[in-house]
Formats: sequence, structure tokens, C-alpha cells
Amino acid sequence: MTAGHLLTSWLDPSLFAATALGTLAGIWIGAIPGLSVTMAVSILVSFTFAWPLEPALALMAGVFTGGVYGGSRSAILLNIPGAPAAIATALDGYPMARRGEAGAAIGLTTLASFLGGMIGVAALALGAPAIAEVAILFAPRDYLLLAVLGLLLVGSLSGESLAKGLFAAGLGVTLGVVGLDPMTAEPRFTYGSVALLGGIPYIAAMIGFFGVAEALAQLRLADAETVRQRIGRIVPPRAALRRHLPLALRASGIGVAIGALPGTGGDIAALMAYDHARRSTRTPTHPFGTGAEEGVVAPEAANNAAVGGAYIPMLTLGIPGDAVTAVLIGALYVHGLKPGPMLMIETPHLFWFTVGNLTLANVALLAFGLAGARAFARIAEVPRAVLVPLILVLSVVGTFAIRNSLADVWWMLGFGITGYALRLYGFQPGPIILGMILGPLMDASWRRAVIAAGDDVLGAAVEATESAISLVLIAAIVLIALRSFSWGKGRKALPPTPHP
Amino acid sequence: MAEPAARPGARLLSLPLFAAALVVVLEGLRLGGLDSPSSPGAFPLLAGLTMAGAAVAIGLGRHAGPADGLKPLPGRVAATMALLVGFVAAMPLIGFHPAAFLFLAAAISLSRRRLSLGAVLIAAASVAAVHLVFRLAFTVLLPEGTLWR
Repeated sequence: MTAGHLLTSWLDPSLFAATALGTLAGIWIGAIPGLSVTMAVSILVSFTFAWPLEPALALMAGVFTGGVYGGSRSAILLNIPGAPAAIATALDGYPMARRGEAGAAIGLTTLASFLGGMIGVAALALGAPAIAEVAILFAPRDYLLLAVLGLLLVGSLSGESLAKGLFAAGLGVTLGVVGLDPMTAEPRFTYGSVALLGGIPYIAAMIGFFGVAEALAQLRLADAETVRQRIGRIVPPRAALRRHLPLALRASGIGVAIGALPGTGGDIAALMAYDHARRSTRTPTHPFGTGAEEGVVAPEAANNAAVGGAYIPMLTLGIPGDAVTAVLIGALYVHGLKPGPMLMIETPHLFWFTVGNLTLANVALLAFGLAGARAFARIAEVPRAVLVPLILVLSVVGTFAIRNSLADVWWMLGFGITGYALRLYGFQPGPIILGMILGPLMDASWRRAVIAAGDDVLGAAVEATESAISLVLIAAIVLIALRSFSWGKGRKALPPTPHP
Repeated sequence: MAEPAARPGARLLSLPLFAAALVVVLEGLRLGGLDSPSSPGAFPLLAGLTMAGAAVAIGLGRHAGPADGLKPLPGRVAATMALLVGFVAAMPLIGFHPAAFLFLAAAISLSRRRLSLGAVLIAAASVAAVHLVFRLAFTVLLPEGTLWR
């Protein structure tokens, strides 16, 4: 029985260690201000390419789960979210710490993250097989529509303007199709360079955009002083657990749903859950924004639930749920796997292995989170002046490790410096990376859909109106486009990362 | 409420963005993007046109970039970029370990605005840790340097 693979990583000591160490590393990196889980995953997975598949998957699951949770530490202790998914946590977590309740905030976030993470994994286990069965019915145009939906969502939600999001997505898509055309073998965007015929190494681009660019951006804040908080009791009293359980369950549901949408991830889920908590809680422990316990429970349950949710489109459709799963898809390709419905059908043991991994990672999160609360608090205080150069060295090693290629390292540096410049002007790297991953899929789906309709775009559009799946996707795209269409106008996006 | 100040040069940025979009559009046209919707150039043409439209909208937009009160390219960041480029350029010649050590010692000293024994020790310990973890445990091959052959 393939579901028996649920226990593989629990019973194999090396896989158990890879998952636990991955979770620990994820928490550690996530706890460092400014270092996102995407950066952690980008850098760490590059070292696993020479590994067998199972330990690599185990490490990735751990890093992803731990990294999302770790971001809450610096949000609570320093008012600097360790990751975008922890922005909402800082709003009430830091005021709690200032009130001398840092330990309580850490305890609540740990338990909420564990609960959310487990609900996300349960949703993955129950939902993914069903979605994979539906996904077999998807026509090429449906993949195109799904990819457009993902890019539109990430473009509209991750930055200050839809125009910047769309430009970034267009740039990513273009970078993704550089090289020989898979259908006609015609070189595209190569300009006579033999090195470009194989395409742009996307793992190098990911490390550049998320590792180097983020590290350089953090260097601008190197003079910011860190503040030490006193950590008291960590495990919350039972009354608090009972009080917050219904909210944590609802927030987890939000997290799973948002995480499962292509292009959205833990950061959006956490903000939506925070908003839900604010609207639905009549008598919070303190007013929201001044240290309400509900203000840390809801976003933390949601962002960890979004991890399981983000795996659903990744494994069933081959579409990234968010930037981290975009990186993971890149890693799976390097390991010779092709995420999508056939992965679920041909290698179901890998799916159940991943579910088991994520479960183990959540248990490790609970253990490390509660036992290592004080140690992780010190990590959050490591000065950026030391940290940033170390990250840059790791980025170089990680990129070089992929193919032992210095050319890849130069690509990574180029993307890093470009990413730094784009970031200054409000461009997010997420749509670029998603575009790079989705570009080849969109290109192939577009052409297959048009060819199937006799090389007729209008014919392909008419065919789309005759399919229920296509109609649902078109309706979703139109709805999102109408809601977020504000070319050039300022829109309310994610709140900026606060600084001490 | 007053509009937040935009980063200097934010509107001008739309010009290189538009130029980049134009490059994509031209490549799409070269690949027959207009000849057939299933040609190799059709999708790049669509992507290029989307980028061009977005670049125009960015140029006309009000929110042309966040200004956070910090210099866009502080000397420390520029110098670290230069050190990083030097590190990668030196790696094939002198090898990963010496290049990484020199980079770390210089970059940490630069960030702390002083050369100290601490920076040198951190650099040495970090290179040793990278060697232990990545060379020995993860078996990552690191350049040894042509100079020492």
C-alpha cells in the first residue's frame, strides 16, 4: 500500500535526521531578520542535487516548514519579521514582547503553527489525490489559464502596483523561454550564444533574486540596533489554548485555501487570517495592534497551514503555490521528477512520502520551537554585518554546487544585483521566479491549445467556453483582474516590513 | 494624507523597462510571432507586449517606488558588491578557500567600519565550517585554484 510510505521518513534514521535537521535549519534561518524562507530553500536545496531523491525531499519539507515558522521569532522579539509571512505576527507579537510576554507569544505561535501545519498536511493528504484525478481532465488551455491566474494573483498581491507585478511576471516568462524552442528547436533570445541554448539556469536565478538581492538589501540596514527581550513562560496555560482553538482552526482553513491558490502563499494567508481575527474576535485579550494574543495565533496558524496548501497545486498540477514551491518545483525537475497529475499516478509513494515528511517536520517544529525558544532568540540578534557576507558566500557555494559551473555563479551574481535594483523600486522577485517556472509551461500550453483548434485563436477561445473547467478558470481570472486592475494607481498591498 | 515620496529616478526607470520590453517584442517578431499564433515567437510577443504596457503604466503611475529614507546604493552595499565580484573572479585562480576568507574578512570589516582581529577570526572559522559541511559532508567540489597547481 503506497500510503505506507507515510512512515518512511519516521522509520529511516537518515531521512528522519534530514527532515529534523531541515526543520532546525529552516527555523534558524527564518529567525534571522530579513532572511526569507525562499532564500533558505533556494540556498539549501542547491546542496541536495547530488543526493538521492528521498533525503533531498525530506530536507526541503523540513526547511520550508521550519522557515515559515521561524520568521515569527524576530517578528516578536525585534519587530522585524523574519519572513513576509510573519509581517502580520509582528503587529501584535512585538507589543506582547514589550509587555514582557515574549515567552507567551512564542509559545502561542509555536502551537498555532503546529496546528496549522498539521491541518495543512491533512488537507494535502485528503485533497491532492482528488484534485489530481480532476487534473487529468485538464486540457492544455486549462494549464495556460491556471498559470495566468497564478501570475495575475502573485503580480497583483505581492507589490505596490499591478503594473510592476505584470512587468516582473513578463520578465520571468521571457527568461523562462530563453534557449532552444522545445517544439521547433529554434533558438530564442540566444543572440548567437551557445551557452544560452540550454536556457538560463533558474536555480542560479532563484539564489540571485532571493539570496544575494535580499542579503544586499539587508546590508542597507546593518546599522539598525537589536533589542533584547526577556523571555518568560513559554507553554501557554490550558485556558488560553481552549480560548484560541476555534480561531486557530478557522485561520488554518484560510491558510490552506489561500496556500492552495496558485501564486499566493503564507504571507497573503497570514494577513487575511489576521484580518479575519480582527473582524471576528469581539473581546480580544488586548486591542488588536497592542498585543492581542489572537493577533499572533491567527496569522501563524494560517501561514503554516499554507505550506500544506501550497504543496497541493505543486504536486497535482505542477503549478507553484507560491515562491517557495516555485523553487521546489525547480529542484524536483533537477532530480528528474515532473510535478503534475502523472507524478501522483505514477509515483504515489513519493506523494505519501512527502505527506509523512511534512507531518514529521511539523512535529520537529513543535519540539524545536518549544525547547529552543531561548536559543533561537539569540540567533535573531546576530548582527547583519556578519550575517550578510556569510549568506553571500553560501549563495556562491550553493550555485557552484549545482553543476560545478562558474558561469552559473556569474549568472547568479547578475540576477542578484539586478534583483537588488528592482527591489529598490518596488518590484518583487516572486513574480519573476514564478514567471520563469511557468513560462515554458504557458508557452507550450498556448501553442498546443491553438494547434488543437487548427491554428486559430478564436477557435481555441470558443472551445474554452465549452469546457466547465476552462469557464471556471476564465471567471476567476476576470474576477481577479477586475478587482486588482489599477494601472499606475497606488493600491493597498502588503504592509511594509517594520524596522526597529 | 500626503503621498509618500517616490525614490529618485523612479519614473525614468520606465524607459529602460520599456526598452527591455521592446527587445522582447522584436525577438517575438523575428521568430514569426505575427505569422502564426503557434509559432515560436507568438508567446514571447505576447509577453513583450504585456511588459511594454506595464512599463508605460509604471511611467505614468503615481506610486513610482518606495522611498524609505535610506540611500538606494550606500557605499557599503556598493563596496560589498565589488568585493563579491572580486571574490568570484579570484576563485578559479586562488581557489575557493583563500578567496572566501579574504572576501569574508574584508566584507565583515567593511560592514563594521573597522578592521579587527574578530573579523579575521570569524572569516577563518566560517571558511573552516563551510569546508566541513559542504566539502566533507555534502561532497561539494570547490575550486582549488590554478595558481597552486
